[in-house]
Amino acid sequence: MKSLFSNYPTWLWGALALVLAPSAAWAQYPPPYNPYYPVQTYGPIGNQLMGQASVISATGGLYKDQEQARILRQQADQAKIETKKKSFDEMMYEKAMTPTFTEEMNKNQSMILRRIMTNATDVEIIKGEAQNIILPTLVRVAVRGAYGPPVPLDPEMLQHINVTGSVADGGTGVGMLKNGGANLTWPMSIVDTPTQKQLAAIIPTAVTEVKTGGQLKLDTYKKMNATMDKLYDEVKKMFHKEQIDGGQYLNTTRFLDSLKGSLKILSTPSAALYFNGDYSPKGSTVRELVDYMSDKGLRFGPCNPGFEAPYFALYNAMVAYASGHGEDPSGFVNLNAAKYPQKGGWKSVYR
Amino acid sequence: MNTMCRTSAVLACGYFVLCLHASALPVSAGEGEKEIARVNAVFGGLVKKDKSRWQAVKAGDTISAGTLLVALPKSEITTANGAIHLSMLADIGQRGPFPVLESAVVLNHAKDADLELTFDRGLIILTNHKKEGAAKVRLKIRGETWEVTLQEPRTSVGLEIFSRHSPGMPSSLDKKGSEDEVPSTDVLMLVLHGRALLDAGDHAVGLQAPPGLARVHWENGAKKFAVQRLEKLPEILIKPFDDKEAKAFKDICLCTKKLGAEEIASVIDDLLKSENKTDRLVGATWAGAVDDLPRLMSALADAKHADTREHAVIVLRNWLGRSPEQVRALYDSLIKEKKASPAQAKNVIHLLLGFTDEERGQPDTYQMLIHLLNHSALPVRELARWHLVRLAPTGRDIPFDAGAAAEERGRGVARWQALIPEGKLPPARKTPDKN
Repeated sequence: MKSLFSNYPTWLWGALALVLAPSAAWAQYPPPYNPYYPVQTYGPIGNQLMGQASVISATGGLYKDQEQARILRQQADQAKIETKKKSFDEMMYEKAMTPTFTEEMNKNQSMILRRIMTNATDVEIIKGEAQNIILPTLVRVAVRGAYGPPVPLDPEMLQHINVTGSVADGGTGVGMLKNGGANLTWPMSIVDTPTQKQLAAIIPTAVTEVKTGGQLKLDTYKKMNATMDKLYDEVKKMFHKEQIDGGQYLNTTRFLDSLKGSLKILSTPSAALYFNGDYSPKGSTVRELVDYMSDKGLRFGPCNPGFEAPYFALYNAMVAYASGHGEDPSGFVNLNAAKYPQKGGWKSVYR
Repeated sequence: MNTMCRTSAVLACGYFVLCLHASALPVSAGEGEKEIARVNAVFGGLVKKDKSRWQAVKAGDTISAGTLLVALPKSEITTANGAIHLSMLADIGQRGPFPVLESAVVLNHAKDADLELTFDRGLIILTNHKKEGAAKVRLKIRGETWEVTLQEPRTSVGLEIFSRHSPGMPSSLDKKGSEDEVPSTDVLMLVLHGRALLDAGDHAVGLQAPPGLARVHWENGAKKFAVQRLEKLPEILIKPFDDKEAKAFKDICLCTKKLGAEEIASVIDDLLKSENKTDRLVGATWAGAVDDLPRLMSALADAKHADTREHAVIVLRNWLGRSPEQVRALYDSLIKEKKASPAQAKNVIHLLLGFTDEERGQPDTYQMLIHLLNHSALPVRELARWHLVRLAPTGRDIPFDAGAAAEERGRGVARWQALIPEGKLPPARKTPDKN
């Protein structure tokens, strides 16, 4: 037969027991005065012996308690050490699993590189930005002794690639002034205007000053800037009066922006380096070009208006080199084909 | 794109699939040799170009070979032998990938095919209406010839074609006698039901409705086909109309009910003058569809209605993309009819074609556009605004009505100048917080 209470769950009995059981305070201390609690006595001698025994017992208890406390302390210390070790392990784990700032940067850079190699925009290519992103990677792997396949570069094409010494220069290089600035192809909208003629006359003088004296004269610099600003204003007015269309206006301002960047370089201390051949891209293959640019600390500058095709050709060559055509065992990754595969090389687009 | 465009696009695209189940009227035998097809149904308007004159076509009319047909928003045609059912549709670009406003085809004689069709623009659905056996359609698209064999009865294939000039000023305008630049063309083919064979001479591919190789993309640059497997038809295409969409479709159809009774030019005039937005937008679309440039330009110069101008820009961009000659045709029209200077005409064309990547990265482009917001000609102001709000979305909320008075416009221009100072590019749009 089942107990009357057997239908109640065990936990209920446990809970009931907890409620009904005397509390810890009741067990540790004598109950308050209770008239019904019997008082035990052992006589005078008995009481004395009782007192001595109590002292001995108390002393023993003290030692015992002290020992227990020591053990407990040691256990606590051990626990602290364990805790500390665990948190240290956790910290190490966390650290190991969290990329550092440098690692994060590297990761971002590799993502940018991947995009540039597979899907650079036209603007990124003609501004030399795409090439400048690929270049350090090629240098870095070359330092480790890894090289891509020999990708030849057309020397004529390379002549149209602008390089610059540093970002501080504005990152443009001398661009269209490389050949002395005397035979510039001016945009149709400003060619033969008095201001254009004036500027066309000043530029070769400025280049000569830098080439021969290593520095631009202040007077030439001021005259050059003033004429440039005047030309900008004139182009703007021509557009506002609808003497030229929007396409011509934007082409002209793009030309003037490029020229302005080049002229700005003339006023820098490193200007002469652009004309003595140091700041010119050199190399018959991508590998040689990369080595040269790296040795000289050079970067690619934006293209001169109308000379976009050599930039696409160079970009294609750099991508081909970096991807190793998928056959190179050096560890290069095959990252898609070049942007504009050209049957006739760069000239087919350029001409 | 405005609401009307969106809804009508949605409608048109919805019909893309609904047409699958549309029934064709039987075509009686023994009809004249010249008759190659008959019109089953016209929703909205269907017009044909007959000796440079546009005429409305009604349900039941026959179609002779070599006639250019333009449908908006939907028409259904069956070949004389009853083998092929053709649906011509408009999709203004919301359900489908391209802003297709109307469809246009030329039906030709075909000796060894059930139908030969020159697909000029828009969206069509071809269905095998034979009781048994395959039906063959020869498609002529931008100088290419493809043969589509609809392998079994009820096999249905949808095709969409869209062309657009690349942005930037076309160099051909500066050089007389130089070849006009060819717009880039994309063709999408989707097998909606059954199996089909696409034979393009050097390429042939077997297709079937999802699941299977159902989608084909062709573009005229590489002239190559990209075939894609689909597990199911895109949800956006098979979604049925909601009430709003059905109403919009009905409204568009109502707009053009006068087409049969009146000259198309006067119908367009009435539509463009209407106080009803749908009327005006349909009017602008029709003007573009039937090459009525003066009326289309007048829609772009509608001082009262910004929505009409906005839509007219899209219609004009579509119109320019139709063929290489369109740019020069517009240029000549601007010079001769609008008495524009060459620079002014080129400006309008540049603004219609848009800006190259390089130009978009040039601060002068934005200054130029802001300057043009104050141009004396309303179409130029509208075009400048049209580009600014797209190239600099952070300024989308700047109130600017190209048709407003100079003083009011000036306030908008000042805000644009403040947003994009000289020498600067527009501020980047804030990306939404991931959280």
